Amino acid sequence: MKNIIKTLALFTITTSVYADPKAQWTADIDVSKSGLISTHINSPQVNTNKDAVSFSYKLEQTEKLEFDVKPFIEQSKQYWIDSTGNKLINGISLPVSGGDTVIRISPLSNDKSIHIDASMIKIKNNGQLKSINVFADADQLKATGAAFSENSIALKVKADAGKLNLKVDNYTGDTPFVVHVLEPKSNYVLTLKTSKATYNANQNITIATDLFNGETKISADLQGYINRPDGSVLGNLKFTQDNQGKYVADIDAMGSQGLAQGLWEVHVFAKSEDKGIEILRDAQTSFAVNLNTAKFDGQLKMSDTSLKIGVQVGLQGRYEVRGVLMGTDSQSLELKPIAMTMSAAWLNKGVQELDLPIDTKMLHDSGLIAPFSIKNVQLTNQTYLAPVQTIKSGINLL
Amino acid sequence: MKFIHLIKYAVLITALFAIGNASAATGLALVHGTGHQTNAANDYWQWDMVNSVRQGLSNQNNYVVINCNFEKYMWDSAASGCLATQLTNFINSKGITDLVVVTHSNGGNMMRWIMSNPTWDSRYPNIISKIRWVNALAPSSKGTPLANAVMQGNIFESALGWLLGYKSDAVRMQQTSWMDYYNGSWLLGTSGRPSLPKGFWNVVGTDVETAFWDGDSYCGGYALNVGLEITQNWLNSCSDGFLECSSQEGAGSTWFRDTSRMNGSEPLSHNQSRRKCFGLDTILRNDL
Repeated sequence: MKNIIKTLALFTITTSVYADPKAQWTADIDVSKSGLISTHINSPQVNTNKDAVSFSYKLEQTEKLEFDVKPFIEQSKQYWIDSTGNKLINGISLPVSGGDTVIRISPLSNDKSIHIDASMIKIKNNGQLKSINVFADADQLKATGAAFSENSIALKVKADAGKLNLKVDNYTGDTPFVVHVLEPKSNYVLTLKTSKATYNANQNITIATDLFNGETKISADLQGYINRPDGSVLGNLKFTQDNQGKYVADIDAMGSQGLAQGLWEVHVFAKSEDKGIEILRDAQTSFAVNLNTAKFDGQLKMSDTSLKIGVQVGLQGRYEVRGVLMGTDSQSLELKPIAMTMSAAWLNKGVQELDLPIDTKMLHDSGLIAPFSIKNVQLTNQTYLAPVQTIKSGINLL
Repeated sequence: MKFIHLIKYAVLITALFAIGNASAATGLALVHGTGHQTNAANDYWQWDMVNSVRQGLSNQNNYVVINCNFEKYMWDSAASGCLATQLTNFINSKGITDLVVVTHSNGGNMMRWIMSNPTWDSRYPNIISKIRWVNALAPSSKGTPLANAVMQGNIFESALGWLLGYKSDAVRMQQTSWMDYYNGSWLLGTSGRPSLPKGFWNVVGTDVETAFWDGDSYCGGYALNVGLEITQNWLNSCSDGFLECSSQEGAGSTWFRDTSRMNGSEPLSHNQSRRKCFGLDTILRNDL
């Protein structure tokens, strides 16, 4: 008798007759091959290791697991504007909402001769000359551990709501600069989030953004765009207000890139006027898009110490399957974690399988009983560093 | 706090028992943070820190100071791949059976990558099997708003910044929304996610001394300068000047917060948490 059959049978209190255990997906698996990427994609490969590797380890039954991955909510009290040396010498206007204001000036140049010191900077606030409370040069900024650009400087002033005029004397040229303004104690906050942390390819990405003054939403002109992991722009965002007053934009993900170069990003720029004060805020957040180079094909086979999971592969590569093995607490009848289990191998195009280890000793030692299941079953493409498919409800071991 | 010690002690006893005897070959690995290091013992940790901590080893030669390119993404062969190579060579050459890893800052993410993705590389399972635990000094587990600040902005700064080599993949990766995604998908050990296969114990810096007359501010060779008065505007009140406490405590378990264990209840700034400051070296030494 197979070890796994023995173990499952031993802990099945509801069954008096041993039956062949079976594994069953808890969700409908789309077995069609449509949509599978089967030709080369223009994305870097980061793992072409051909060694099959399996791993499992014990989880504590007290672990509280949450398989819903929630999207990040960005909150911004800052904005950036582009400038040049020529513009800075003539003075640029920066809207501020009042209070502590941090201004960072970064040259976009490798020219080491570019040097800005405090004596070169003149700041007026609504026409009145302001003194700089704190000034830090690039060395002082970088000594904090943060990766500020070479030749960046930052300063802090206390401002009244209105305009700051920032002027950098003794500096000419068309060198591009970025001027970054942070208002750390401001009530004006731009929030930004995507509706999901990870989208399926060709799924609509819904982006929600709002500008607040404290608890109150205020109207804003919004612009934005999405860029892919390789930095190319997917498209501009067109925001409309939904029936709850939230600004929402939709765009098609069209995913065909791995994440080896980074994540997909949403950038939003808000401009508003509130009580006569101009408000600027920028925000950015990130998300992922599944790469459809393979999919579960619905096939499951038990072996001595593992579960073979069928995979339809469109594009060869190194794939991993992982999940959380769980069993039932005989007292509470709640599912509790037993082990994390995972396996990866190089899979060629076609019908393939990955061998997910099931440690029968861990199963036995857990003291948990049937029904057992494997939750949050994830298929990833390690070659392109990309999520492929996730079935949160997972597989029941009957 | 005593409960934490009991847990760690229990793990130690279990590890030694699993090895089969109490004369395990214990090793120490020091894993640096963001940056491309070629002599981290001298440049990143400084030798007085390294030499003090390794005094806790029964064989004081059983240590390795990692030198890798942690400007790269954590999955890059120059980052976690390099780390796996150096750890594997260390384990094999010294016969290490019980490995204590001490990381600083983004080095914690590098170790979490290995422990969260054992199937990525056939060397990873062996490394994990040898680890007793990871002591993560000020790990950037949830990123930092300062990475957002230097990476974000307009498309020109980001795009041109890459061309000009201003920014590293590692800084990009440590933006808060990015780490949130990685923690939810590729990394383990954060709230709601399965735990890591081995313990990940955080040492948390909660504050920075900014008084110029306070000699402690200069410990570790880092005079706390006006830069902190700028960077703290991006951070909440509990931070080490670079990372908020919530990031440092975002994965694994909190071993201790600085003021509860440092001499004189001194806080550890982000740079001081890798230096021989306020008795940190002694605590790490006694944990081997």
